[in-house]
Amino acid sequence: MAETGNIEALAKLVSNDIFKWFKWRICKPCDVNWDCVSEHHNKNTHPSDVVFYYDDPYSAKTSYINTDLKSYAAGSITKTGIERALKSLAMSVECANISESWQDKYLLSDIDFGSVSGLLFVYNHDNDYDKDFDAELNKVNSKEVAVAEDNEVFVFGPSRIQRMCDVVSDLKMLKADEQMVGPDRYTFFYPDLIRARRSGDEWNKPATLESLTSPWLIIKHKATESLSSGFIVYYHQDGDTVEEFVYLLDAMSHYQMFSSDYRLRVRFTRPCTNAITNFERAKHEYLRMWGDDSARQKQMDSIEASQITNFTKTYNPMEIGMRQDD
Amino acid sequence: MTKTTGPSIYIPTDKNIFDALQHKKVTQSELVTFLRKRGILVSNSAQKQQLIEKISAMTLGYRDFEWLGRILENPNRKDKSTHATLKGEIEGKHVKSACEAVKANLAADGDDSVTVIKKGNKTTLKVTYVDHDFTKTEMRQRSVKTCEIEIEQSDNSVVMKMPSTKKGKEISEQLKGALRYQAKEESGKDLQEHSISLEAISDAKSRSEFFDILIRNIADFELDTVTSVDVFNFRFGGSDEFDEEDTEARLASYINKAALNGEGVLESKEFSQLHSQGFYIYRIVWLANEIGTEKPRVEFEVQFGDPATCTDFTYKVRGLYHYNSRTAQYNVTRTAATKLENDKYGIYLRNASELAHSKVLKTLGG
Repeated sequence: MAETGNIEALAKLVSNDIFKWFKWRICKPCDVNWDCVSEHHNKNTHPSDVVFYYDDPYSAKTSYINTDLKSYAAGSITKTGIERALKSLAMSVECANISESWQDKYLLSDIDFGSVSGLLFVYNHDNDYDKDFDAELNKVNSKEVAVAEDNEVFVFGPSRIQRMCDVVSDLKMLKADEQMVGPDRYTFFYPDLIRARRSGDEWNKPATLESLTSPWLIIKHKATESLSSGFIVYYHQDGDTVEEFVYLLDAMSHYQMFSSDYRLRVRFTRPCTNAITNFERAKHEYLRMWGDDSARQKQMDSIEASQITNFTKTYNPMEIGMRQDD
Repeated sequence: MTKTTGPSIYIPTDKNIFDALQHKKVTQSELVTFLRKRGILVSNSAQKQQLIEKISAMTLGYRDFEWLGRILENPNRKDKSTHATLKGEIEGKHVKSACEAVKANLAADGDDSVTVIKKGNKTTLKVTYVDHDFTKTEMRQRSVKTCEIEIEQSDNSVVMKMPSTKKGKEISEQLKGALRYQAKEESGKDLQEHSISLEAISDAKSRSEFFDILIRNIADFELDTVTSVDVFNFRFGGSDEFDEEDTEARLASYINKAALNGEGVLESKEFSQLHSQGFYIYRIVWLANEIGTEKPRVEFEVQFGDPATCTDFTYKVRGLYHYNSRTAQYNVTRTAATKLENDKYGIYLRNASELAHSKVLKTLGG
């Protein structure tokens, strides 16, 4: 059911604040109900707060993301609340994939229609970022939620949303310093896989749902007068081992990042105190493993590792919780 | 520095992951849980193949790589043990510096890490290394293993106990070399190496006799039954025989190896038949009951790695059948020996084999 007229405004804020930077686009209309087509749901309609879409970098098909925006007070995130929201979303996703009513409203074109996934977007509307979200999510009984076969439902909790906001604010700040370009001149990076090839040219790829759940996110950017072309790797793990960075360096080498004169930046989103030291050690270890000729030494030296500044404490698109669920 | 094994950390390709996830040890529910931890919910009845397609195309970090490694890890299959005795004037300091030499040597040309621990008259050299098996799929080729060599010192000899693996052999050879060098420097005398071998005995009956004595002489144990025996016929197995053309023609069909499984194998008429035709035992598996109340039944195995010459002697504790006081019987399922049990029974096996060896040699010598 459509709850308040504010959802449309909220959707636009979330889209502008966050998803625009990840190259997701918004489907009109926001906040509508559409027909349920599955009898076992025992419902007449399903709601859609907002539907995003992007072209999948590997399949080239359009992925639609039927999103449920939920705002909770820090203390009120409970297993029951999450379970209820997920249950409803799982049903919506099952129907959206086959409902004419949904497709009439949202589908851009029948050609290249990939699939509809669900996204439960849970943010805090007060100041206490809730650390227990993952624990509560873990308690959710998967039998209760019943995601239909071939469907996927993603959950972005307060900390992941926070991390995405941190990345966006970092990009904005770098851009203000002329150390980064705007979304039209960067792309999210997808290496060619052995079992799948990236479709089309490498530019203008979105950050997929999967890449936003990965341990790192890679952006490739073009050059400007004050900035040479290169990569930014947003590294999300805490970096408390040397091995994980040797692994990361090997991945970067594998993705051919060292082969041209790219500017290489590794930016930690939530590092532990030793992360940068460990990263430097990993460089040495990597050189030791592969032989430290001067060219490789230069590549390693050129990698800039630093921590991003976390300005925002919590993502709160509108000061007053418009849609408070318990 | 050149290496043949490559680095110990490297990023697997999506194809490596795809292949690795096919393994039956990776269950569908494990994959569902993996996705869930990333905040991705899928149907509980999703096909494993579909989940593999999905996960192998995702970016996996080092922790994911470790997760997969843990699932695919071989449960530490107990390696067989073997031992060698060096006789001569060997002092504690020789053992120490020999260990140091081996340690320096291993550290210089590889990723092996080495620790040396001395406790009383026992020195343990523990080598952690990466084992490669290129016949397996990429992600399963590497496994981290340890190789422990125990050096036990007594008057005028040291006993070296080691796993019967390629690595065990390699390191023990280095260690022996270093010890010989140390002793020679000091006393000018060569060390004598003694190991269990029946090479000097050509008589099939005496070769089998060795096993018969061995299984009846495990301290604190009573022989229950022999469950498996592998026999070999020297007459056919020895290559010299075939140099003569007519022999080859005559022996167009022959058996030189046979394995007999069952209960009470040594008493079977099949065994005695083979035995009378010149076959002798080179591997034996038997059950023995530890003497005392509520003690376990233990399954042992000893064998000569090279059946033709009866050399390369190894032994192993295959497992324990614990005594169940409720049913007053031994359990039906076998449990693996703990490290402690393995060490304890390993010494029994070692002593019994030394005893059997010297007895057989003595009867032969007259």
